[in-house]
Amino acid sequence: MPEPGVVNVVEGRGRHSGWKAHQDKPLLADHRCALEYITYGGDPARLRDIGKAVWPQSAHAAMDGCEVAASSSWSKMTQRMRRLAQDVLEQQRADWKYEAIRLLVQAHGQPGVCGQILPYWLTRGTVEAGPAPHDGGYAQADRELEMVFRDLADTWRRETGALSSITVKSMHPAYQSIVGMGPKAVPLILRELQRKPDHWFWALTFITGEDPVPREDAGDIRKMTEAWLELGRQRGWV
Amino acid sequence: MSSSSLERDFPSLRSTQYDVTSPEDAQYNCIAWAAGFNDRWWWPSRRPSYYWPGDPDDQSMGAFIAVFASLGYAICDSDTPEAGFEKVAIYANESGPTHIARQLPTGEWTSKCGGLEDIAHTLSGLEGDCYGKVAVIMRRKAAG
Repeated sequence: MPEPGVVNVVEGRGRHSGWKAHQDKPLLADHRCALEYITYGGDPARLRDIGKAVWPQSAHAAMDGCEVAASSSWSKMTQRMRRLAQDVLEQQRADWKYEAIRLLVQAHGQPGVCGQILPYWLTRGTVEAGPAPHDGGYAQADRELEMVFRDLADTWRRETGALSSITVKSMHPAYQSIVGMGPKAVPLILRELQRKPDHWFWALTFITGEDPVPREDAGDIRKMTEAWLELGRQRGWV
Repeated sequence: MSSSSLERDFPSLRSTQYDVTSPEDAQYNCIAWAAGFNDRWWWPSRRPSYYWPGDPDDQSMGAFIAVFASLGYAICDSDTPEAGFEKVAIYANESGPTHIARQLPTGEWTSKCGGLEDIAHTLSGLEGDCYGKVAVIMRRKAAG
């Protein structure tokens, strides 16, 4: 009998799966953040907790096409995901989402690992899997996440630096991949904002659901930056 | 002075005259610069809010024309310099307005290219994939 979490993902009944709701939407939709998976060791309660942590309900509901799936074999998943990602990149496979879910279900069977893969590979390649918590490897995972973030941020800045449109800037695939990292991206974004003020406000507002910028400071990049850094200090994000 | 990043985004600059006239600055953009300001980023956006003296939900050409009409500009036919008038040129692509340049007294145009540098240039120098083409010219009587 399949684990309850996996059944939720496949049949779209879980609170956090979102699968049923999105399965008829166009693949590779605007946000290009169509798949995030979480391994949880077969415990539905743990899945729910992780789901809440990674995707606050408001963000998850608004992020069209974002999926939370479940399995518990990190190494098998990442190997197969890497191959799938390569196929997606090389062949523009339209059925990648369904195949990804199938692989996640197949790979289920090794409890006790937890991590996430980011939608980064939709446009750039495959993100290496973070190590399992019992390996004491969170620091390594954080370093890898930061490297991915920096690469995406550089791409976004290079490809949108000449644009004025906030809409076009914030819909850029690299920017949306950063948004797809969820709350884990917030400290990275704030550090980047501190280093070099830029248009990270859409991402911060979307991920956190907050907007600390007073109306009179709208458009004043220095003051918008200060407002977000102050909120980050208050919340312990920086 | 030229800029490799600008020439990458705007290949037509390589074959036209242009000069970089400021360092990069993310504090303001082309719309603000065309309107005569360099302290804010102007763009219609509700959340997060940016500065926009119009409807924050409307990014149409009509909305951009209305904002510059509120600054005293009216649509005109020619980008040729006219004594006693200031002109702006609105670039657009299939998605809508992308950029605004302001004419200098010399007849050249000045632009803030997103968060990059200010440049003095020809109108055709910024036409291409990034900004599209000049779609609307507006003018107002010069101050003083």
